[in-house]
Formats: sequence, structure tokens, C-alpha cells
Amino acid sequence: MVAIVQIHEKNGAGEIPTDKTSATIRYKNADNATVDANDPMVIPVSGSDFSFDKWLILSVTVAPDTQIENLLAYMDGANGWGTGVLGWYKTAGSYSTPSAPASAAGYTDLFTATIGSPIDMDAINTGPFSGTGDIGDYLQTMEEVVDTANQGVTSDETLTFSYDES
Amino acid sequence: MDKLPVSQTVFHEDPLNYELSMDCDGVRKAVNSINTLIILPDGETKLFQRRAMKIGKNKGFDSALVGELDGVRVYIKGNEIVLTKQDLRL
Repeated sequence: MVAIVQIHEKNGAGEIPTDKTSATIRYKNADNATVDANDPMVIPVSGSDFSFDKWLILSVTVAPDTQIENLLAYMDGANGWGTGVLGWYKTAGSYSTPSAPASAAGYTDLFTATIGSPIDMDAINTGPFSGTGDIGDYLQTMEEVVDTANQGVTSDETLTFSYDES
Repeated sequence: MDKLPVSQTVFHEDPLNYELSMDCDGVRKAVNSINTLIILPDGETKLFQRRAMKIGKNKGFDSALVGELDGVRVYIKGNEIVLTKQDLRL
């Protein structure tokens, strides 16, 4: 049977999942999965405004015939958000309630994760995976807006999750 | 392998999805309604489907059949077939 795999965004202390497969995530100054204009990022007078972390993970609802392995994530190229808007990521093996970090320390530039240099999404929780439920690692990603940014909604970027199914 | 447009069809609803099997002699086979890929057990073999799910600007789904014999891979996506030793992504 063909596996059904979804991209889940997790929010709140209860790790509430929202299916984001073929959808959009919105970086904001709040911990929720809603794509709206509430709690927007703010251009600071000086310094940076950091969004709440987005916690993303692959979740299997129908198991594969044999297994899923080689989980990866990558962006489609250079940062298209414009001047002063940055993306950051790190991976985690277990969930924590999303928060807005005080800095980008410990994070890596999201746009260095490309098709030629993807993020290993099962480096901590290693595959292969044969059952249902969450698989692999959490992708913890956030946005930074610095004082040189322009006002307005930024253009969308593409984030790809990849895996091998047999 | 990223020349074809991203599909909006999820993998389990894709009529061209491949069914993978291996018989007792180690022959691997991938079959869909138009293609059959057979890998004879002449070395180390692999057969899987590489999946990609995209969110945001170019949201959608992408898939390629991948067969491998001793490190040489064939990638089949629609009518496009690539033979290489590279680890191609979607």
C-alpha cells in the first residue's frame, strides 16, 4: 500500500498537530498554525525581531509496504524574502513548546539547506521507519526581521521534504 | 529531475504510482499502468520511490522511481529517464 505521509506543524504545550501538507506556514509573533495577519513580525527600530519557532515533522498515517528512509529537507534556492528578513533552522529529536528565541545562536541559515546540501531529517531519530506516527526529527525553523527590512508581506518560499519509500 | 511540473496529486491517488516487488530469486520489479522496470540480481540492487512534498510557493508533490544496480541508478519520472551514479533529488 502507498504510504500516506503528512507534514505536521506542532503547536502549544500539548503538541497539537496541524496538517500542512501542500499548504503554507506563516512566521509570526505567536504560537499557532493559522495563516493570517495577526501577530505579525515587526521591523524593530534597532536589532532584530525573532518569530516563534515553527516545529515541523513528517507524520505517517498509512504505513508503507516496507519502509521509509532517507528523510531530507531543503529550500529551493536563495533567500527571496528581501533585505533584512532571514530564515534559520535547527533540528531536534523531541518536542518543546514553541517560543520566540532571543537570538539566532545555535541556528543555521535556512537558505544554506539546498537540494545539493539538504538537512538530514533522521540524524537523531534514525530510520528506516515502517509504522505509523511521527518519523524522524523535528525541523525547528524561525524568521528574523532586522531593522533594515522593508514593510509589507514577503513573498513565499518553497520548503521541500523528501523521503524514499519502498 | 526537476524539469517536470510539480503535481497536485498525492501519491496514494497517483494512477502512475509504481507497485514494487521482489521475487524469491532476488529479481526486483516496479510496475505501473505504462511501465515495468526489472532489475536482475547481478549485483547489489535497490528499488524505491523517491517522494517530495513541497509547501509554500511551489506547493505540491513530486515522485520518481529509482532503481539501482551496483551504484548505478536509473531515475524514471513520467517519460523522463536518467541513468547516473548521482543521488538526484526532486
